[in-house]
Amino acid sequence: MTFQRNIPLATIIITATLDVLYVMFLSAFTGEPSPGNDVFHAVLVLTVLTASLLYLHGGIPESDELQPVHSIGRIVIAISLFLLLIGAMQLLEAPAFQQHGNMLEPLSYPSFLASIFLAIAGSTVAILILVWISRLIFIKRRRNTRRNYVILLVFLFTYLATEFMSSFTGLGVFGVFAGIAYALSIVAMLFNSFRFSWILSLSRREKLINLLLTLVGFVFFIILTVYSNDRDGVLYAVHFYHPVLSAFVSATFLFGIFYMGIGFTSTLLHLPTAKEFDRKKLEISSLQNLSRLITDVFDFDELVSTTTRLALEVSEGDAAWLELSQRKNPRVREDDMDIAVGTPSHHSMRNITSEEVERLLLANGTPLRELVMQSGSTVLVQDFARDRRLHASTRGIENIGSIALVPLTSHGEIIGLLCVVKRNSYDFDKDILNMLYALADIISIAIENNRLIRESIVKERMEQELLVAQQMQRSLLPRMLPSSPRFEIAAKSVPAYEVGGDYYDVLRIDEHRLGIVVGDVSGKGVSAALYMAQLKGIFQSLAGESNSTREILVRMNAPLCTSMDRRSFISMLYAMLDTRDGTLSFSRAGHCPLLYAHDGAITFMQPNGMALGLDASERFVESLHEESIQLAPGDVVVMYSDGVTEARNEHDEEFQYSRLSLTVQRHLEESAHAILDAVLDEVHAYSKQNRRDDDMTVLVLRWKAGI
Amino acid sequence: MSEFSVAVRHKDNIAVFDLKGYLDAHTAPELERVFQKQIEESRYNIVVNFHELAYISSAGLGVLMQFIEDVRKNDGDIKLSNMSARVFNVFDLLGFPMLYEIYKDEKEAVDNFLNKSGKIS
Repeated sequence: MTFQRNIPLATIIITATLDVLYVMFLSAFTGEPSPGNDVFHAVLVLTVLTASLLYLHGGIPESDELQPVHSIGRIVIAISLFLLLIGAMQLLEAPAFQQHGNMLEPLSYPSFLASIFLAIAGSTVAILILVWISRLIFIKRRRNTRRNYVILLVFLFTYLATEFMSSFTGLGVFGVFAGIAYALSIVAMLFNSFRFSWILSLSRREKLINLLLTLVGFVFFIILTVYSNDRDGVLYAVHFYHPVLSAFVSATFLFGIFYMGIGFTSTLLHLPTAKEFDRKKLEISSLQNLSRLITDVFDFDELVSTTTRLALEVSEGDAAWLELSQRKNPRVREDDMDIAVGTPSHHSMRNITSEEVERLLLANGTPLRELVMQSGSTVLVQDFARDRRLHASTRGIENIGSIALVPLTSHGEIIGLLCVVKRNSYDFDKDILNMLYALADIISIAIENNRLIRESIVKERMEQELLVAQQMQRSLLPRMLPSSPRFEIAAKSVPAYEVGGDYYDVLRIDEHRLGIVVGDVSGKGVSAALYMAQLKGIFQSLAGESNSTREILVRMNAPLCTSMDRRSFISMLYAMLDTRDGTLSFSRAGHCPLLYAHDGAITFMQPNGMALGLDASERFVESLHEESIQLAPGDVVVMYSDGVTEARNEHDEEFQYSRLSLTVQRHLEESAHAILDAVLDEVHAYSKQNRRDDDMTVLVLRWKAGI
Repeated sequence: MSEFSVAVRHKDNIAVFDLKGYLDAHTAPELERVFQKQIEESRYNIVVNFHELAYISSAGLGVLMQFIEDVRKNDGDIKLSNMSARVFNVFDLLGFPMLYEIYKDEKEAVDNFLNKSGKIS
């Protein structure tokens, strides 16, 4: 590209310089009155002109970033300066020439110099004008732009060449061709002058400036054209230098007239719609802005603030606000919204206060808000002072001309309102309303996205809490159970979907006593896990202090009653095994009955006793009874939680004691572990279609000794 | 799952709650609300009828525990009636019969309120 520009440019400068020097040499040494006759000079001039055209051809950049009004301005400044120059020269001394056949003859040396100077100035201005106009032509270019432009250059060249031949040879035929080429050039110029796509994108102010500039340019170009044909005028000196040069300059001025004239007319015709156009541009950029907001869902305040700001902008409104209906799901509480039941919350009020809004919409039962809710569509009050739907006293509110209430909908439900107030009545036209609808659509999506994100954050937090509770619970259960040749113990706790509060433990009270406990904390989640931790602490600290299971439970009740809330309680089954002789004593505080298998027969033992944490009085003590069994070799004791017996199948039927009993019975000859697995497998198979709501705990003790 | 409702009737100065469905951690707040309302209206004689209750969890029991103290402090009571075998078993295991009066029939519970005071309280 630069190659195409630089060579012609260099050629222009070099050749022009050469030419000027040559002309001066000619006149100084040969006394030739007009250089126009000289062949060499003519060739040089033609070379300069051709190079100029080549430069124009090769050097037009993609000029979409161009400031078109600046270009017009540059043209106008250039020709103004040129006019000033001519004016100044005219005042100083009009160069005088004498017609000498086809050529001119300067009558004085200053005239000669003046003509050289003007030739250079004039052709420079002409080339600049052509360059700037061509840049303007190429703004928002289309397929044919370049073609039309090149055609113009070709015709121009043809015209100059034929004109050259005509003036050089004097043959009439060239004159005819020149005339044709000139006409074609004019047509091409006109074609190219209609490239004014850049006018559309000007702001109103820029259009007005452009109007002025093109008018001035038009007038100046006309003056220049007229003046260049004036034989007494200064500009005629260019003709002296070389007639083809002045033809070139004149053609350029003509192009300038066309382009400026058409530019002026175009701008003038665009002015009435300028305001509309500006508004359209604003609408589009507003929509683009707001579309971006859909993805920016984290900052709710920013979202609503931008919405009302844009609503004001696109509607040229005076006040706006956003109303959002109270969330239906009260579990998802949002800190920044009013939770006042019934009334929607107001957001991002612009130029209006909450009280004014309430006065406007609710005063004296004005049903504007209900109208929207009922109809599900926009309510438009074009003439606030006279609208019959409004109560007389509301209509009296001053400074309100018209109101639009646009509902925000999501999944077919109205989730809020976008409201705009204007001072003038009948000020909401179709375009503004369409913009507000588009805005409402976008903001509905954005609000919905925002809500979904927040819900998922809450859900995530809840799941995290669940995980923590599960980990806590698991950490409280024993990692290893004692083993011995005299007995076997196997136990397992299977957590539920929602963490419950099952607990079990096996403690060595002393060398021959084992404390075995199974407990169930009411409630779920972290709070149940916390109570379980407390239970474990209290139990472990008290367990060693007595051989009576009953007494331990009694002693545990008081601290638990104090530390737990009223709604919570703990059921517990505490058994103590004397490993010397196999006596098992146990107490039951509200827990499931102990399963005792002996000689193939199963008994459920349910000594009286209420759960811990229910009653701090003597009633608890009185209700608690201790039982005792003498275990024989092969006897099995199973302690479990109600998650086992209450496990439900797909028909909502419970596992119950009967099935537990049968399962244990079937595996009585096997090890404690085998019995444990059998029970768990059985319950799992039974209830797998149903979601398990409660933890399941099973502890199996098998007495072996007697050896 | 988790379908639950409480209907409140009034017999003289006694409020009778008809429980229906599944009372668990999700639905317990509903029962809590009903109790709360009665307390606010100073109704301390309450009979809870379990006839149509299919299931109760520790959360449901917790609701009873939550209000019993206040009710009894105001010379009232929460009496329970019409439990199915399954529901009664849950109460029985935990020892609730030692804390609450549980009747086979609502009428017995209501009568017991009236007998206690000797007149319509």
